[in-house]
Amino acid sequence: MRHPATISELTRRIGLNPDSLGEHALNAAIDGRMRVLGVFDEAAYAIRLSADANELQSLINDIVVSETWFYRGADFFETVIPFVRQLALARQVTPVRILSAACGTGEEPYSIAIALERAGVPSHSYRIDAVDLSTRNIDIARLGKYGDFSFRQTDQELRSSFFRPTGGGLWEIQPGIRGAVNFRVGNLMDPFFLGEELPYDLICCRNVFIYFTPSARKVALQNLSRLLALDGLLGLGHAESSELAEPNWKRFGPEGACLFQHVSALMAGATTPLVVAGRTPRRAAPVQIEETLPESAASESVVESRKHAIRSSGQHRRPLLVMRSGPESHRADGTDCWNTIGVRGDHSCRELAKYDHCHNCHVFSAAGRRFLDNISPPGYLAEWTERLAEPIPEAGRDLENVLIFRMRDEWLALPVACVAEVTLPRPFHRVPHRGGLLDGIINIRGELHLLVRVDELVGLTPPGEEIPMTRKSRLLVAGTPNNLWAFVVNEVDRVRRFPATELLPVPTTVARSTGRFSRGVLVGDGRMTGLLDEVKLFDALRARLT
Amino acid sequence: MLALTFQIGPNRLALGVREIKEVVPRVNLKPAPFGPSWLAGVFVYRGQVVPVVDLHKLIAVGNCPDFLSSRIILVPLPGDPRERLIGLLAGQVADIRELPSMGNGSSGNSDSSRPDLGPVIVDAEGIMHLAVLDRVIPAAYRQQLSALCHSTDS
Repeated sequence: MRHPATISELTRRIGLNPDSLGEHALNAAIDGRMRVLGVFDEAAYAIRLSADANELQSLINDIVVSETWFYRGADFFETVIPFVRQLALARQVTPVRILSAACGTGEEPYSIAIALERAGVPSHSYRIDAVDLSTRNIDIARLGKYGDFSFRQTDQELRSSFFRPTGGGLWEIQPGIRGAVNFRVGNLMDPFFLGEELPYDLICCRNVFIYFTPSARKVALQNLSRLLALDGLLGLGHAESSELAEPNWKRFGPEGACLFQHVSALMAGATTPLVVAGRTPRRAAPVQIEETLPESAASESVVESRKHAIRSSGQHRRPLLVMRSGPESHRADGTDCWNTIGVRGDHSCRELAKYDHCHNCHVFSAAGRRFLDNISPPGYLAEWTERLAEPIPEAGRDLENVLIFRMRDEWLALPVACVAEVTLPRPFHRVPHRGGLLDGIINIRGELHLLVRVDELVGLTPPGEEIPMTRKSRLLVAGTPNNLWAFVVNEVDRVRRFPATELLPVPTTVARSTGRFSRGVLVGDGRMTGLLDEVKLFDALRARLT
Repeated sequence: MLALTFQIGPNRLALGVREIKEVVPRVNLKPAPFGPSWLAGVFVYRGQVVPVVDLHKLIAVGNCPDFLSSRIILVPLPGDPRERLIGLLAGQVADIRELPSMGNGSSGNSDSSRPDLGPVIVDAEGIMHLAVLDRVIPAAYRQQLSALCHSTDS
């Protein structure tokens, strides 16, 4: 493998098993991103990746392939659709919750929505959430336009009834179907993956585990079992069903459907999985539990009530990470509001004007508190024990953040701790009869600062010469908190994190001018950057100007 | 001062974030043989052995709840020249808030032989202690912890 640090970072963050994609594809994607950024050093790129969520997302988008089509796996649909239909009939009020985990470009969730529509299941009786790691995939899915390749197992009739041709050989999905799926970005490696969601009755995660390392599969499976309702169905890919330990999981439907149900769902009362006719509840609830149900739950369907009862009676196998503490749950006091009237819903909540986002709202944080007051799910402690025991890669230590900028033709850097602001150049007040390092006085956010010539101080500009101004010129405000200076630089690049070990001594050839104020030299991004010694620099300014 | 708030039994505490290295979830702790009752055990953190103090047992207020909100606060062992880490297991480790700074509270009875939760402030919810590490973990306790810290790079 050519990019060991980057690949191990990817494995850590998204559980990627590098062998599943092949060395060539992975290297090509990483090379591509490094070219885009102009980074030539793999170690530097790996550090960037670990610190920069946007870059991680960009790389993920280039790596994650969506190789799927509509109605993939006929057996799956033939089993799943009657299951959902019958559940919807039995429920009446509460929608059947469906999750397409790793939905790719959306073919799978849309197929489920189309199939349910064709089976006559009313759209208000189910809810489909679809999650993918790649923002690019999610964008394509939301757009809902597909090429011929996505229809390789779809007949013409179905395509023409649910899609309309648009330009470029693409077919656009019917708006009604598109509206039935809620797409969002998520990472199955996140221990709180969809942590705020209620349990799902059907979770599809087909042909995803093949890309994961064994330990990543465990994490993903933990997340999915946490999110799966007590008697919910889990759909996997053909190659992946061996992940489920036989004593705990039972096949549901034909082997080709690759659907599984947790055995505790069977032990909890039902003798056969789902033998439902019409509106019969799926299994009889023990009477004594039924009687203890509070008013709020009694109004719900029997199936739902029974779930509550099992949860509250403590025989529930599923970890309690779901934000619901008991039967008097979200519908009673409205704690699920972020999904209905908040940012995940229709934005009709009046509090949004005050809080901007549900994350800032006390209702949401209270729900978060309740969520944290649940007992840790099984395997949680063990997983963290393992995770924390791993050493941090050497490159991740002793990082220093510096702001990189250009003065004349030289790239320089200052520790971000001493930079107060980067802003656009603006008019300033020239001080009469003062030349040299002092240009004038400048007003920044109502405070007056001295505008000085750092370029001249470090010897990049001969005395008396102006610093050239272009569209890239910026004004830097830096110094100590009670003694800030403003100065013009020709360009500001970015903040870079680098390990202390990467700082090289100043070569004697450079020592001519800026060397006096240098702490060292950073090599990277195809150039040499002089790290200025902020103490010496600001001391010198003070000595010359005050 | 930005401070992490947490609870030990009924007691609410705050600890300045600058004193904290990291907050981690609870982990499986290996019991230390013949260790004191307030020692929850040790675990491996990034290659070093870190002893964890169960703050509930330390001040004898029952057991730390096994909730997700109970976490381990990693801090340097007070007074240790090598700043080796110890863990503090506490409940309701879930919030960070701005508190009035209270200067250096380590003066006074820092040589006390018994753990002490530190000076108090009063807020809307009642009394809150501003924890001072070397008062929470007095010298005698620190010695026992020091013996348990092992790090590969020292």
